[in-house]
Amino acid sequence: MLPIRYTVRNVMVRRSSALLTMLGIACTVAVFAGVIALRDGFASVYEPRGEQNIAVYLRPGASSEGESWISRDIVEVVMKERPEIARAADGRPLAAAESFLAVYMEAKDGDLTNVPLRGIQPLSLELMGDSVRLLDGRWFEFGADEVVLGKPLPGRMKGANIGDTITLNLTPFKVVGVYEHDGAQGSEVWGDVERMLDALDRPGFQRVVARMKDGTDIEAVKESLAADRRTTVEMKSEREYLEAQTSALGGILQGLAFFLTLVMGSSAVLGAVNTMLASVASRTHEIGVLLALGYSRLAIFVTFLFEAAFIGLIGGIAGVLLTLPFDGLGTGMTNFNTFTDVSFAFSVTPQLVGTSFVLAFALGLLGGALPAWRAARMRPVEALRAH
Amino acid sequence: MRSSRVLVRKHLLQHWVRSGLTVAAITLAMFLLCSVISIVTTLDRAVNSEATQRLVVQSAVSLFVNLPLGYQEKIVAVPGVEDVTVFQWFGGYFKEDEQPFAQFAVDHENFLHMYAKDMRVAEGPRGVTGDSALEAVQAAMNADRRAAIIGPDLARENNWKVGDTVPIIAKIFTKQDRSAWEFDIVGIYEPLKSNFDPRQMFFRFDYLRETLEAEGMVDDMGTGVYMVNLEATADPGLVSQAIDGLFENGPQRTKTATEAVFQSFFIAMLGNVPAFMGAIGGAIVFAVLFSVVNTMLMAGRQRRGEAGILKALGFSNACVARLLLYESLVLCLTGGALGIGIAALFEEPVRWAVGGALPGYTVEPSTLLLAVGVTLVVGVVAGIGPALGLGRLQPADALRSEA
Repeated sequence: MLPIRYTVRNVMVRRSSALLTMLGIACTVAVFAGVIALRDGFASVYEPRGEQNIAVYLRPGASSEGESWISRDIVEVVMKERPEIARAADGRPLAAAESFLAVYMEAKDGDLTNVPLRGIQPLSLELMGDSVRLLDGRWFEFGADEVVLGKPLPGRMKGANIGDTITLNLTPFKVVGVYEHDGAQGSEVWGDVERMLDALDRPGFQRVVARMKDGTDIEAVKESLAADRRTTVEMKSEREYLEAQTSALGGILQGLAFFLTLVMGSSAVLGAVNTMLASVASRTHEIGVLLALGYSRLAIFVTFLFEAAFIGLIGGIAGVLLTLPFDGLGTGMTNFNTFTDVSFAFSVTPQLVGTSFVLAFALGLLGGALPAWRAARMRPVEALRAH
Repeated sequence: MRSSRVLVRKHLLQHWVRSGLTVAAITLAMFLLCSVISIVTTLDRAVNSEATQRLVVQSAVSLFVNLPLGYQEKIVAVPGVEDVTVFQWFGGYFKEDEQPFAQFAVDHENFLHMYAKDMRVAEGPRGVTGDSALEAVQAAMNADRRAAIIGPDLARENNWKVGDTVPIIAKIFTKQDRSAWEFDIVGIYEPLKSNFDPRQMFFRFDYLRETLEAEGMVDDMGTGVYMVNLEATADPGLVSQAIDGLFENGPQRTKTATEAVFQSFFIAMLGNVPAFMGAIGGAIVFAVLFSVVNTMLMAGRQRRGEAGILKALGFSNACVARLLLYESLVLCLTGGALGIGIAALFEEPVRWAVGGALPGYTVEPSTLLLAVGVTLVVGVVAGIGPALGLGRLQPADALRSEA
């Protein structure tokens, strides 16, 4: 086996060529990591936090709240009669009916944006527990025409500061506070559900959320709901519900990352093959010497393969370094499942860094395979003859 | 001139592996660059070529709040308005795992006429095509409550034909027994504008309304938006104001805009996507630039001895330098032509693959021109350094490096 120092020195001797190849691989890795960081940042918003025994009830067939509609009668039946819903000491069900509507707000850059407007009940806040906090101002009062806004909204929307008024159709609502939520509901407008339904003249609720009793068999609940003709609702655990909300945009970003990486990666591999072929060609004599000294063909093969992988890995590190400044950079996009604007940040996770290194290493290996094989197959006598 | 052509060709062919790899790398990069730019131009075009003589009336509160059906006759009465149809998103699917497509419930009496500039009825019942197809489809729409007209791509994808009955599963308008809605296909349209989505389905609004009422699901049915055709001389701004003025005090306030502005709102929803695409395009160009520079540096190093010979024979410095620059340009233009050609040829399959996510994916001629420009710049930038190096070389030094 040839020492690693040999490889490093070889790379240093042909540093301009190696550097250009590294940069090509770095570009590929940066694009891959950038798009995946976007997807991870988006998906992390929908990661369930805290307790996992929350149930979400929607109209059958609806895949998100915007498509759902549950009448007041059915809400009452669900809350009163569903056996899986936990109850407080005084017997009232730990459940809340909520309304949801994507409403227009004007962003600071002048674009119209769909912002989620959620009507909630006092128990909604209780069910969210520690994941929600008041940052500024005060909570709205139930029964009053008041709303609180998620943390990103005052910075991104026009007329969205405490003291401003948001008009819903004909009814003005006063902004009285700003909240923070660790999760998917962090950039919404919240108010009393009854006031919202009234102001918007909406006929029913969009969903019921409830705490399930410990040890509830979710599959059994689903079956019993499907068989129940009176309560026309479907139930999902909050985790299932949230996961389903990322399918469209997450899928597009993942597809984009795959396509870009495939084509750019192929291009980068071709560049690496070029570099390594030149490296092998210029060292033909040297390879002859090594073979004559008794180094095995396998050792030669592995050495050149390692050289290519080394170049790839350095390129990978450079690529990740290019992406790191974006980590935490905030952006907003429309979630096509809910049709509302979501604020999130690029998220360069340790796992993504690892994947990027593996990708870069693999690109190097692919680029090095053919030239290394060529080097290993040389006949010592002929190789020695080359100058 | 001729000799330089021969030399460039011989050089490139002598290192055919390296030349081939470099050309392939450029091909891939230019194909990708064209695709990425086309995504952005396709999005832009959806906004720019939309008719301004059509207004969209929607709720001022939300895209998801319906407008009362009683608004229709009030809108028709506004001066400058030619015709109005309801336009209700249905939001169903045929197969869950397939690309979603849009279904809209419309006023069947006037819809085909109102959209005569956007689409042409290509095929009607019993194989009718040509000019009489429109009449035949209109008659079928009038006669059959479940009648629907679909786009050509939708027909091809699902192998749907005129005369078929297709089940669509509703996500919003779920029936009590959760069964699918059934539609009878009576016609296939052909878009007349490249940005008119060829994967839509239009059906009768009264079928939707009557079915929902029979199911007891709604007591006062509304429509998501109204599409309003204007008279040719009408001022869209003034008509919009007049319509919004009608409903200022409710029951639902409206926000009226031209179809172009309405579309631009959907594009704005994509947020920073165009900027991200630009960054990706930049990365692609740099990656391929590095690759070609690398190749040309190698070529420059190998060409030192030969440059010395040429200079000793009396060729000018400029001539020797030019040879390498030509080599770089030939590599880039070959790869560029292949990549750009593939992007143009693959327009149709790509449009197919992205489907509803990006309707009307088109590779603009200006995109191809831009890619040609980028290829030239890469060729010059990559070749110029090594070429100047060879030009400046002293013949004696150059000859010595041969050994």
